[in-house]
Amino acid sequence: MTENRDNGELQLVVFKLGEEEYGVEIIQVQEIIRVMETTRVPKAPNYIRGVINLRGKVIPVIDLKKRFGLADSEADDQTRIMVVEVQEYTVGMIVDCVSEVLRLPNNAIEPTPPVFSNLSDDYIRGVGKLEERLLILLDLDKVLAFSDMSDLERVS
Amino acid sequence: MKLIAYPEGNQVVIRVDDDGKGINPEVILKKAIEKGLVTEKEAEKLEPQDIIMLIFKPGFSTAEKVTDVSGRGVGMDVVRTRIESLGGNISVQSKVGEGSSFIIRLPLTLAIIQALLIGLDKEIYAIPLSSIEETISLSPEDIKTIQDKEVILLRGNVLPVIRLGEMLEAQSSQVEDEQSLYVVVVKTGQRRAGLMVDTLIGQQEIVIKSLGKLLNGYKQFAGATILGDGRVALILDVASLL
Repeated sequence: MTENRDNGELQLVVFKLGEEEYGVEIIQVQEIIRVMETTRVPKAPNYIRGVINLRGKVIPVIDLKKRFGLADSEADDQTRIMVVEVQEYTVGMIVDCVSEVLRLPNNAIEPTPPVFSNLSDDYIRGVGKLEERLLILLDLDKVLAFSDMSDLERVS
Repeated sequence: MKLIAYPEGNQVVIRVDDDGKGINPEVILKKAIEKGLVTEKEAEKLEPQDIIMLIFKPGFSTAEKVTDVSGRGVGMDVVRTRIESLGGNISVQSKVGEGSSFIIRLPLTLAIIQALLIGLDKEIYAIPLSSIEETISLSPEDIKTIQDKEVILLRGNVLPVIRLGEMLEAQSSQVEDEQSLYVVVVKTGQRRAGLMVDTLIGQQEIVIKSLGKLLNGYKQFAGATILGDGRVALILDVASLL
């Protein structure tokens, strides 16, 4: 991240959840795959879709819209699983579509406005402005760090 | 000095027992306060078990003199850090005058076990063969209830049965009017129970894969395995189901 800061820009993978556009740093994205059959994990929180076999490795898949409490929608041929690596986790995230990779200058990033009520402010690193578009920059560490891990512990 | 190793669930347990003088919590606590690792106030709340765990704190040592090998308070801290970096943990039990045992638990990251694959609706789960006694098929009228808990009589013994489909919230649990029900009799320690499943698929060698850090909290699964067709099947940890 600091390196990117020095260059004055962030390289982002942009994806959509509903109508909103989100960005995560490209360095955290391992690959983007088509949706595949997941194996349900009983008693897991509803945002954990299940586990998949990623070339012999078992990784959990998170439904990002459920995680953020956004409206659900049917999977279509644009739906993708974005495999990200955060700290020691490798996790798949279901997103509506992955649109592009772009560079965003640091001065186009603004701190989170306090209006995001459904998305806990914690998850957002800032909002990127790109002409008329707004990109919500996610802090994946926070999205996946599961401060709500207590959910998991409670279930077990 | 005794060294014991055995598998337990998805972990390997290594026990090192000695018959030395044991660890005296009072001595440990006194040293820990002296070294500033805990305050006297914190110390009041500590259970004897917690106090013993203080020996793993960096900087802790009871040695009066620093020698080539001991006294800097590094050793036990390194032991713990190394074990935890492997995803394991270490605990200590000790009785003054009787000895101490150090119990090291390490995960089986890659292990092949024999398992029985069972079906619940469309889902497949694996049950380690080591925790299975037998499989039986019975008819619905064989199920009796004792205080609302379902049981069966197996060769004169009362055996509680668990509807696995309900327990794991599988989409459709078994149809009541089915002619025969399949029950997998499992045991852990002294406890036995029958797990009612939809289908018995068969015995197979499976490779245990970790579910990853994110799902580590789910104790009812010992991990997952990849089936011949590429699907992932979860491995039930019988000990935490019963």
